[in-house]
Amino acid sequence: MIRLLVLVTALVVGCASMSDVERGYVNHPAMELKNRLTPASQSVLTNLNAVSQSSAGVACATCAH
Amino acid sequence: MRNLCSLIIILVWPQLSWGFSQQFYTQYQMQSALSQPVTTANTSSSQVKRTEHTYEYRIQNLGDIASIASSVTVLQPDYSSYIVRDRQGNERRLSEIGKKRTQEYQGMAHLTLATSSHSANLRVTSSLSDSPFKMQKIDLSFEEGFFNKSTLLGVEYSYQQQVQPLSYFIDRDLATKARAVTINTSSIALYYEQIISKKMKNLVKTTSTQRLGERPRNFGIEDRLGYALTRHIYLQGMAGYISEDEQSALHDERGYFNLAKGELAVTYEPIYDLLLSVSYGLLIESEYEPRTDTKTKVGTDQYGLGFQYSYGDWRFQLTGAYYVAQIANGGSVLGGITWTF
Repeated sequence: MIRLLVLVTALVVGCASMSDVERGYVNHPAMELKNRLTPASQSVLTNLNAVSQSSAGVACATCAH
Repeated sequence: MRNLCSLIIILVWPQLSWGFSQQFYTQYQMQSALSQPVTTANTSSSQVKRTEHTYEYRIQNLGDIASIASSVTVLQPDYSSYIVRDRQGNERRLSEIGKKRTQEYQGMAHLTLATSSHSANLRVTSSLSDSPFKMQKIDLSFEEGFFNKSTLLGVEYSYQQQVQPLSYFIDRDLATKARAVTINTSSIALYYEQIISKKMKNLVKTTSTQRLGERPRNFGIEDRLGYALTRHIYLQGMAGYISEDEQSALHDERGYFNLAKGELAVTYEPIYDLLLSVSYGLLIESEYEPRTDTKTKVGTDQYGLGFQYSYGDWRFQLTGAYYVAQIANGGSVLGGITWTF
């Protein structure tokens, strides 16, 4: 009975810990590494930091043509 | 037949749509830049401006695994900064050539299939109206999660075809040559995201992109680290490097490019679901011209701000950036609203 109680307690604590991890820290929106909360840096000389030039129909005047 | 179709829809639609949610998203974006001449780039002093307004409709959790989205973007481009040169070397602004353009339209369709451990995306983007930069693009991605998603492996591929106005340039051997009018761009990326501890995770991404017939293939690597300092303060750091393959032949008057970048960002959550972010980024770009053995280096500082707030069915987003470089400075502002119903 005590072993079962310990096991259930461990499961509950483990789940609580996991839910804490999921929302509290590494899965928090501010920890999202693939989507940014501020704009990406502009590359003014080479356009290497852009996926595609003129993707929205406007060209980069100083970047490589 | 019509009754049969109606019956199928009545029977099947509730099964598919059980638990699904719909989102309507709209955003407004404005960009501008003030540029100075670059000695190696044959460019003129110019101002690039762009405004765009996007309307997106998304259905999530369709049949428990699918999400679909479609959007229309209304663009108001300013082509007065884009210089077109004819064979004789005369320069004209693109805005002075052809009919006057006030608005352009772009459409996007997006399908996501996701289960607990993996997800796949297909996105198709295309110009819907006439444009001097008419484009079609397809994006494919797949992500697999391991160990309760503490490890993520992903691959992304995109292919874009885009036209550009006919223009000529003078090569290093003083010959007048035409630039390509259709540019095909392919890009592939592999990434690995790992939760390191309860408060830290890391993303490593490698990329390779080529604008066929225009630029040598480039290879890049980027590492982004996130750390939760407290329950209210989150840090992100990024370092990356991109370089063009110097074994490949050059196609125009420009040399080989490379780029090193770094960024630090801090996000503060004073109350639940309100995120305030500030960031600083440094970009160092280089161009090496082997035919004249010259090297040009330009540094750019960028300061960014971000605001995101969710309230009930609504989410508000506002971001802004201002950058300062030796050859250009400018900024961008983006505002977005999402309504989930």
